[in-house]
Amino acid sequence: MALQWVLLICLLYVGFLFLTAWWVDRRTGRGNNIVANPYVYSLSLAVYCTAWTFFGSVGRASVSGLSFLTTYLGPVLAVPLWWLVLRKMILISKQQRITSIADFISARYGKSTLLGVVVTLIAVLGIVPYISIQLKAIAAGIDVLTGLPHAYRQAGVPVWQDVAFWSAVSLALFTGLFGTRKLDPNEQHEGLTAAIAFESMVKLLAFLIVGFFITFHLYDGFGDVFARAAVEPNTRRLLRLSDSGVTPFSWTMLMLLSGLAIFLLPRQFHMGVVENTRPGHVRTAMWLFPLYLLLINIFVMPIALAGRLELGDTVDPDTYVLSVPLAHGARGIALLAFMGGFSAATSMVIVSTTALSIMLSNHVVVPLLLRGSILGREPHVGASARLLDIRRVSIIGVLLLAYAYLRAVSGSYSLVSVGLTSFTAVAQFAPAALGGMYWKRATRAGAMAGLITGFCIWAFTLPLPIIADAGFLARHFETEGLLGCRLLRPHALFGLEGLDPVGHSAFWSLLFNCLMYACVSLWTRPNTLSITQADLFVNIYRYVGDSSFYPVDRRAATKDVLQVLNRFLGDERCLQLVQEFERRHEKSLGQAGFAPAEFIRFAETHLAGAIGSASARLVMENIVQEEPISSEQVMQVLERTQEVLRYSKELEWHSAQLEIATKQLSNANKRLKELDQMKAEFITTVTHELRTPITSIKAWSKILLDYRDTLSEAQKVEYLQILITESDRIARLINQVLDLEKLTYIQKTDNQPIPIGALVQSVYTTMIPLMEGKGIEHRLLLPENEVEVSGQSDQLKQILLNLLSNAIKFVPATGGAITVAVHADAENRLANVQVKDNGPGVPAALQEHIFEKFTQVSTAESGKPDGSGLGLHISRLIAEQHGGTLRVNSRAGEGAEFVLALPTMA
Amino acid sequence: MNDDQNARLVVVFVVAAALFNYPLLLLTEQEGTVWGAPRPVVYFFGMWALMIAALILLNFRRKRPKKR
Repeated sequence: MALQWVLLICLLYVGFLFLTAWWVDRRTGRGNNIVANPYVYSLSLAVYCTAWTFFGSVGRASVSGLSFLTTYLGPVLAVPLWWLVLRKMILISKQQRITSIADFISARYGKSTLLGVVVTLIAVLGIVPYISIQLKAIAAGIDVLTGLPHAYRQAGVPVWQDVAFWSAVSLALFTGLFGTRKLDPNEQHEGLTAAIAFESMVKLLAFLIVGFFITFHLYDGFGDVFARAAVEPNTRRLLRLSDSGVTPFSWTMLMLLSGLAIFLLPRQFHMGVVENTRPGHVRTAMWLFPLYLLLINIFVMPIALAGRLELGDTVDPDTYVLSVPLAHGARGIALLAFMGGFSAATSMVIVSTTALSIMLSNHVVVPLLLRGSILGREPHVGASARLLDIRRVSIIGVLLLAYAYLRAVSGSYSLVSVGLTSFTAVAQFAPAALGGMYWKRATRAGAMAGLITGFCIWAFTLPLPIIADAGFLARHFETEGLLGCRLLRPHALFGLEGLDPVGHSAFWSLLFNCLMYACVSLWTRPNTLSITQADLFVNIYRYVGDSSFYPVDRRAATKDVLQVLNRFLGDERCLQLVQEFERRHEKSLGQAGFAPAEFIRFAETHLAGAIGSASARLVMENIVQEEPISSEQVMQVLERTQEVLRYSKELEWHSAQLEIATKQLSNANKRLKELDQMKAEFITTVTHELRTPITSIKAWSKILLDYRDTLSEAQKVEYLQILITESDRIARLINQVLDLEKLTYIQKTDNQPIPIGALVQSVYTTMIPLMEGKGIEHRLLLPENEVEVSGQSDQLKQILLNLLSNAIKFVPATGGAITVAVHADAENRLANVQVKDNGPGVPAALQEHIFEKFTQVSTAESGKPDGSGLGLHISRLIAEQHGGTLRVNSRAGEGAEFVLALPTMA
Repeated sequence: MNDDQNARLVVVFVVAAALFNYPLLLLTEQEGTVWGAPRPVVYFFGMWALMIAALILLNFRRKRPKKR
């Protein structure tokens, strides 16, 4: 096939892509965004499948069997975590207007410029080999189709005769047209997305058709290919995992690398995060993307086996997809295969270089220019146009670098081995980017240390030996170690031998990367902006929909902010933004005076979309009087937190108080109910007690009235006597009830010192006539020294009267004996008054009972004694009100001894 | 999506990680073919398809609570 025809078809294809993109952009401009749907999003993620997939997988499979699958199983394994990780990345990026993986990492660690530069450089150096293999694949494809010798392998071929060089140049032009047509504040390119989704369809269909052709046309289906392969020893080993030459360790390592790449590759970040229109689209991509990968891999083994069986090593195994149909004269199929590979390669190059150019311009060039004050102070220069120029130059630079790498190195390596070098480089972002999303404590220094350590180990163990092999460096360090130290050999670092180079490099670089990241973070402190950003990243779900969080007050003139927006985004866009802001906040900006804080923040986030967050911060710093963050402000931020904490503590305390109050209330209620119950009982008992004498009075009065003529004088006197006794009983009862009420509800008034011996003697003296009248033997024992107690003498007298009259009541009719004794218990500081009788005594079971209200001990012999049953209860109440006790010592039949113990005065 | 769904996705990840790594890959080492294809090929693509099925199932399950 003639070279010009192939080139013409390529040009037509690219032209068609460009038209598609242009058409979609125009429609989107009219508000009809057809790429904002989950299927386009899923297909655009298939930018993961490059020429590596299209040509390289077959080449890899024909050399080491099924190990080619690790590149796809890694992302497939990562897919279930997308909802947790990728969606979080998207939410964070939309909140912060993040435009690249460098922006992401830089923003996380306080919008650090330096970190952005480091990440960008690692990304460029890591991805350049990857881009170079796309150029190689295109060039090799054209060579195979046209039957030309492999130009890129011949050092003598001048650059301008090299197909790969012209591929690089045309791709640079094309990408420049695609990715830098306009400066979008959201860095979203609907046309680009549509073109990439279309290319994903093309490469999948092309590969399926070629695979179907080889498997079912040249062979009789899968069974036939596998059966024939099983006969040949050369191909049989490819069908067994253990013969693939991949150890279990490197198998897992390769899956880890590709699993990380699906999050961290600049082009995956660009398509998956930056170009994402709705986080919910991830949901569909979670099953569509693995399905896509499955389909594009299903014919890899048959094609590889067919190539190995028919062509062996006569051609580069990476070109089997083209060579096998060509060998059977199927030029149309071969051309289709080439177009599939071409679309895979172009999609990767376009997105990767676009992403890298954004990173280079936002994180390296713009900060440099700003520091040099070229962009920052020049008035009214179209910075927006200049930014696009910077991007175009970056794109050309990256592609020329890739071409140089191809010329120098990649020509002699397989597609997959070069691609894995890039994967290992990109995996170095994992601790800083993924760790930063979940670990708040991580600091900028930790991220920097981890990235630089990982990058250095990667560079030393993977690309350096390759560059040395290409003849640019002396090779002896590979066998003798760096500086002659055998522990520093690039393929056996620290003496660790027996691993494949990629697994070895990935292990050491990621191990030290993670260690440095964690340790340095723990030994350094984050600055204020870092703390804020860390919280925004880790707790993004709290901030979604709320952009009002900025702890530091900043001041700037409105016209300065407008001027900056104008310069970087252009007149039209600036006006649009101002209108959007005024609508959203319902306030007019005006030209004069200071801009409100929200507007400064608004401008910065939109500026960040165009030039990256770190650069946007630098630009704003020029016009904004940001008070240098003083410890006072840090304290304010902290205080705000403290205040919230305090509020919540207060709230907790109040609720605890409320609980206690409720409990008290319920207790009081319970007590009230008990009292109510007691009152009811009390009234029942009192009325019952009152009714008995009244009934008796009524009965006797009636007799007196009815028989007033027939009754003798003596009888009348007797009955009247009864009436008086019963009336006395009622009066006594009422008095005692009144006493009781008084004791219960009236608090004791002023207490006086009372000499207890004298008090007892006076009561005793008044009772002597009564005792002698009943023939009771009595005596009084007083202490030698008078003891004083504090209290009210009337009440204490009442106790004694009560006790004495009880004793008189219960002593036997003949031979009764009562002893009253007072003695001081100095040890317990008590004065004890004992009243002892020789009556029937109180059974042990009733000894507490007698002190309750309305209880009287009635026995069979003595019957119910007279009295209200309130005396002892009132006596005990009085004793307790004086801080003392009243108790009884007795055994049935042996008399009773009542002891009143009162505390003595100090 | 609630915590349960998140946990289910993590379970899919753990199971798949076990299936696609050693030592379970030793299961494919025995000689012989399944449906005319070598055991490892059938194993990988079969498990891969099962995983996609699980993800589709979880994807559609998610929407159900809204309808109730």
